[in-house]
Amino acid sequence: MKTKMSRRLVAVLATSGLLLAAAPALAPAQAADACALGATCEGSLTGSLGASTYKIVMPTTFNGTVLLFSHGYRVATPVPAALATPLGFAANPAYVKTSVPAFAAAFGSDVAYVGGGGADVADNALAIPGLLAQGYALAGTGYAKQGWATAEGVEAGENLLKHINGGAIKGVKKTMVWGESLGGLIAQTIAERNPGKIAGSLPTCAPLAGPEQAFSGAMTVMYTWKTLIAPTLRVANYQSYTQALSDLGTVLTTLGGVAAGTVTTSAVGYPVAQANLLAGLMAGLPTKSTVYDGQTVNPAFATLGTLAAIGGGYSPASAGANTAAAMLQNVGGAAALGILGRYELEQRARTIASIPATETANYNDNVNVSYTNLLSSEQRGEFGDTLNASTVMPNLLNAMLAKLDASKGDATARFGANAAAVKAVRALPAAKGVYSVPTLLITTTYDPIVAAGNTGEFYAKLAKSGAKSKLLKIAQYYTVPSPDGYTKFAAGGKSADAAASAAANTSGVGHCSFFGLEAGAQITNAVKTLNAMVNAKTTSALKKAKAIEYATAGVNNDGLYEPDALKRPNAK
Amino acid sequence: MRTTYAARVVAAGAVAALALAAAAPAQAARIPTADPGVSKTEIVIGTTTPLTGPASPGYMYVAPAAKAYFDYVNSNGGINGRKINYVYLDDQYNPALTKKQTNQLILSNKIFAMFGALGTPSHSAVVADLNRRGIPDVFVNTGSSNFDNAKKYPMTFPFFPSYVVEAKVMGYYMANDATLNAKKKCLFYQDGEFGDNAQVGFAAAGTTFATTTSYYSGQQVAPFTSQIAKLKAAGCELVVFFGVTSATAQMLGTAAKSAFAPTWMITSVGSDPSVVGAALGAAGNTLLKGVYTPSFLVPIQDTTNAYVSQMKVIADKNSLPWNFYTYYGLNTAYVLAQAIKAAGPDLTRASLINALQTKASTFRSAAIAPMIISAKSHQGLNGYYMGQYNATGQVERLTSYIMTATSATSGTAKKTTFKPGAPTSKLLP
Repeated sequence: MKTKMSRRLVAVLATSGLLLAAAPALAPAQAADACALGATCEGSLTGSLGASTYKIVMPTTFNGTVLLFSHGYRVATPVPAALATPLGFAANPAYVKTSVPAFAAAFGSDVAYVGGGGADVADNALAIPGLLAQGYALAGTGYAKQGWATAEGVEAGENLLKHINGGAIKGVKKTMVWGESLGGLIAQTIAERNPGKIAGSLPTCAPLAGPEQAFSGAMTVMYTWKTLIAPTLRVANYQSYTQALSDLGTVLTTLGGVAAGTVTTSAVGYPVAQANLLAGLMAGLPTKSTVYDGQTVNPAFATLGTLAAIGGGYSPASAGANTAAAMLQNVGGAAALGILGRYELEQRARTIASIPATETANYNDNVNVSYTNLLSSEQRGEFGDTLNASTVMPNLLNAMLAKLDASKGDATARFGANAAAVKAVRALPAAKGVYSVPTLLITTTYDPIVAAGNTGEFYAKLAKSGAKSKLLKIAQYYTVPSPDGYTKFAAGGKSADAAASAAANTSGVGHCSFFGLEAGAQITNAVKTLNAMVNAKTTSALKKAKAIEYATAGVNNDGLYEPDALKRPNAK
Repeated sequence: MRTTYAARVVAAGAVAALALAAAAPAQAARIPTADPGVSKTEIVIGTTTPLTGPASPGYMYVAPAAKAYFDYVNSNGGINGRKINYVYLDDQYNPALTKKQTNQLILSNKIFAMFGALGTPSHSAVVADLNRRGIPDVFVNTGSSNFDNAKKYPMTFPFFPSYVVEAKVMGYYMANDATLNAKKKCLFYQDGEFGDNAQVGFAAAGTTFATTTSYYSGQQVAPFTSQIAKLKAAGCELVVFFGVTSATAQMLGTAAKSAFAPTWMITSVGSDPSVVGAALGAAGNTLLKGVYTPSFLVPIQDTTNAYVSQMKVIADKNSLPWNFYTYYGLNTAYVLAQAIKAAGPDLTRASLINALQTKASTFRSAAIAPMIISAKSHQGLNGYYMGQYNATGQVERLTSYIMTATSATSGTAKKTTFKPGAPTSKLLP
């Protein structure tokens, strides 16, 4: 697929000269100077992996509990403004604006954004006033390096913990760790490693199944895309950053073409929206996105009748078509982390394991994956309702699966892993699911970046590990959207009103989207719940503690709910 | 499909701040200590089914018919002193709505069991959750062989034979009828599990087709122009069709306009004359005449039959149209009532499952084939007779014997005979 953007990317291949923005310089921390009530104190701490930053925000009245925060994933390499703006990085204060001259020719501007090393006490500022009002001291770190920075994040958190306990905050009775997304994995790892020093842990929307699992979904999506949509995709074993940017450009440009109605069928003859839907379903991506609820049909189908509405270009025509649109949005949103994140983690594995450039650094083997088996029978049934937009080929679903599995076992057509890379990735710090401190897990039910199954499976591990505890203090929460849907249409609108739909979607959908209802009560009440769990001495007190979050708007209070299991492509 | 550029709206989603006042109940979820949905006086049963939408023609009658039967049982004292509170919700054959309505039935209506949930794609979306929660999922209204899996879905019980069984039966009948066997055979099917199941059955039966074509669910709102042209061009003399009833009407209508008149053989779930007639008008019966279709119930027009006559009385009293779907809905409700009765006065989900797995062969119904249910197999009915439409839109039974098979990927149908037992007194459990 030739596009303006992809031609520009070719130019980048020739002139790559990428800059990594350095974290802002900060003065080394002075030990023992306590941060005053109502003050914000910042500094840096030195560790074996480099200097990390920290920030402490003190309440005006301190309740004796410190909340130690680890922030989420930040892309380690400069992302061109043309991509960074739609992906939300440009507006994110954690990203640093920088210049990459080589981008000027390829992307129309040299402006780029790169994840910075600044410290955060919460990834969403909306949580801060509520937590300070409850009297918590808020502390948080920035990491020495970005990307899949669990090693740097854990070191930064442990150093800040020492700093706090060394007098940086006065009157500390206990410290609870929390973190968002990758920061949730870091927080839980800190908790497991420091049980005597940490009173409780609150990982939110965290990839608790670890990096290998986190990127296996991206492999499924990208391999499906390469086979059915865009054969030029490299998918894995990136030899340069420009190769990764090229893949990201291809995916976003193609999705843009589908959105604009200029692309329906791929260069290899498959309908893009349906192939993308299949890719997302096999990867375990949700069937709802922030705009598309997977159920609402354009009201024109009721008012005009089916044939007239189809003829008039109204969409979506069915729940399935709405789901397919949701998957376009979800893949678009996940592409940056899936591609740029894979690039960064491959480089990390290369460095750790000294993998030469002549060898692959891929850590997600798909050579023997059966894609037919990866689509569950339940998903297969659901897919039957999603084919309404295509007349490209008969029996489309089976045709696509057959094409994907035609290469099963073929190591040249598929992507073998390097055992050294796998070993390096598996050795990165990661919580094991051993119950050590009271733990509260929370995630959105429909998270396109970190599947809710991460939370469900980690909870099961904690429950198993802590089965003999006298009072097992663990809880899992899932936020949910309105069951009536949220996709909105302007009167007579041909397609969904994206802004109105996103505004009506207040809970349960998107990555770490806990702030639509009651200005972040899902998080502030989660902290309140964890604190009450830590303090609980009896079963009934523990139950009462858990009820706080269950009663919060948008939190699923169906105690028997379990998210879908994670997709494990290589499971026997 | 036109969508707003996906990536650009990611940021928009994150800043949504409209507060919906949809506060969750201020109470922690509790794990129940007794089975929900059953008390000394009541049993709550739920269904999801298309009452509206493109797949609703025909299927919309099934749940109201079951309701009519349960009302009849309730007016006769209920079952072991319990009245049946039957709640059926419209899911428009839309899997996302099926999930929503199923959650409503589980969490708000607190159902004891699901009964007769209709549709392969829609039920696929909830079957795993129902099983995980231990909710009996009785007599699903789909022939997808996926649900005939006692190991994977121990709470799920199909009623009518799977599409694999039906295809094996069709294959057997065609192979043993010299006239049909001599014809050039072609297959037209609905994409997805429905068509996949049929192809598995035909492959096992050794049936080969000169040409195959398909449609996708929902496509039947427009004429099947390209598919009919393909079948006609291939010179098909016998077209086997696996699709929903509204698609059958579209297929017969399109073929008539194209002057294409092969012999048709249509799946049992896709050929009700009242629905086809509603779509095609007076021509419906003419177009249906001679169409072969397997069936698993006593012919609906046989009002001398004790099942048919008594069920028609209930239908008439409730002003329900007397068609296959009404008849089918009444019949499955009748079988469920017997299963609940057989579960005994101390009704639990476990006792219902046990009754189904150990006593199904004693349940009476208008089915012409045995009901096969055990702890190891939840197959349900296992066979068909072959029928053919007459000039008045009625299916006449062509075979005195029935043909039985399993849903396995191999093995052919077998010829046998079965005589249904007489109905229970007053058609009460």
